[in-house]
Amino acid sequence: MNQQTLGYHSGKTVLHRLNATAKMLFLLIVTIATMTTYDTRFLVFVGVASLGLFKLGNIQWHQISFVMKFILFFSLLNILAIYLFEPEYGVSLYGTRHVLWIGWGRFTFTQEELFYLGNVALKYFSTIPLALTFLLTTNPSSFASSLNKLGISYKISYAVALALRYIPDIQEDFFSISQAQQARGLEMSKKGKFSQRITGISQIVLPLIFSSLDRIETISTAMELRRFGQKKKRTWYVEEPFKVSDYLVIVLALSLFLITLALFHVNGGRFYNPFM
Amino acid sequence: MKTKDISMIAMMIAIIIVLGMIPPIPLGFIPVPIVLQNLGVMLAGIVLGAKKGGLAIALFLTLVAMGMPFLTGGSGGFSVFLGPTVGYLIGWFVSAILIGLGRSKFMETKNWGIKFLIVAIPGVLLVDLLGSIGLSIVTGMSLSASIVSNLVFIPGDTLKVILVIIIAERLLKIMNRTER
Repeated sequence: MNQQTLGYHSGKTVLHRLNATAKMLFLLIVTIATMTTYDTRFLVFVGVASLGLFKLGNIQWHQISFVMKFILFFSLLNILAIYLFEPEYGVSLYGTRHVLWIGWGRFTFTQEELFYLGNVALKYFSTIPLALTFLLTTNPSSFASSLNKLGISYKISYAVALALRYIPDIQEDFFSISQAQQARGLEMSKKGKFSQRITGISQIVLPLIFSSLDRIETISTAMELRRFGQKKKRTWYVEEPFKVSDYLVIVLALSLFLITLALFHVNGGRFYNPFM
Repeated sequence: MKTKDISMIAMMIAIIIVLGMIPPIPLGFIPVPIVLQNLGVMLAGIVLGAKKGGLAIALFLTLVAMGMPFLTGGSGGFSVFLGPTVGYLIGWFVSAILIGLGRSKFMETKNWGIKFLIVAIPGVLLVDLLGSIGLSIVTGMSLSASIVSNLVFIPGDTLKVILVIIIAERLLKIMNRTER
């Protein structure tokens, strides 16, 4: 089995045993906190703690390396786009101007702009490990039962769980089909011409979608044979009551959120300004 | 809702997520690479219809809002709904419903031009228009400059519409056969 797929991997770590609802609330609250503040000290703290969660959840690099490289590429693209559109945005934010290099035309390099772009990068560094940790340590059935507990219909909750379970399967299909087509002479690498790569993508996406939708008949028939959907409510095999550790996780999330509110006050805004 | 509908909605959500993870194809002559994720959004509308397609996109966006890194490039979290790309996300939801409303017409007609318009008007023009409005509101850029900058997406999105039509025609043919 390809270990690079993005899905639940069973385990017995502390993170696996936490209640899915508590983990979801933690992820939601901390993500909002991290995205609203630009305080570098807070972002660094959350980033380092996020990497600690990888260790705590026994997550290996090879499980996430494909996704991480992908995310890294787009993060750099985003930061580059910010710079190209607003080369001196940092100067207007922090109110000072320390030129590192005069550059060319409007494309200067200032400490303020680099500091701002560094903060943007830190946001990615902080939030994405949290989401990956959640995905890899939360059983989709537990996730569905959490959604149901929050008031969402169990059928819709179950659709979400199914979707999360399908992701690794479709990813594996993608890799298999891609390699099979390349064995038949398909040109997918960067050396290929544009038209070749478009043809290549369509020859992978078409069978990918067909083989995925092929499974629907089998899966839904099996579900009906097990009497799914016959009642207005259902019980959940994986449902667990909240424990002390779950409440602690929620308290921790709320504390982090309150810290960002306090930092708004201390910093006189969302930005921590070392240039003042 | 039937069990099969639940399976189909779940599978479409998963396909959209995985399409977001496929590496983009750079067009040499245009700065933005072709990203496949919105192909899945258009396909969801045409395959599932208006109601189920809209539900699938709504669930997908809910997962993104919760913090899942399911948008292309690993973005996620509630903040993307407050950022410059919010218009595109709303556009995805609206376009899936509108494409779904055109589903029966899409299946009836043999005219490729009509099929193209059924998918392209909500899936490309409307999404880019709503995206421009969102971009303009959030960044303070003028609306006309925002719309002009969105023209860069038209060639790639047009190719995706063609691909969606090819895929959808085969899918709907198979689906009709099995449901008969």
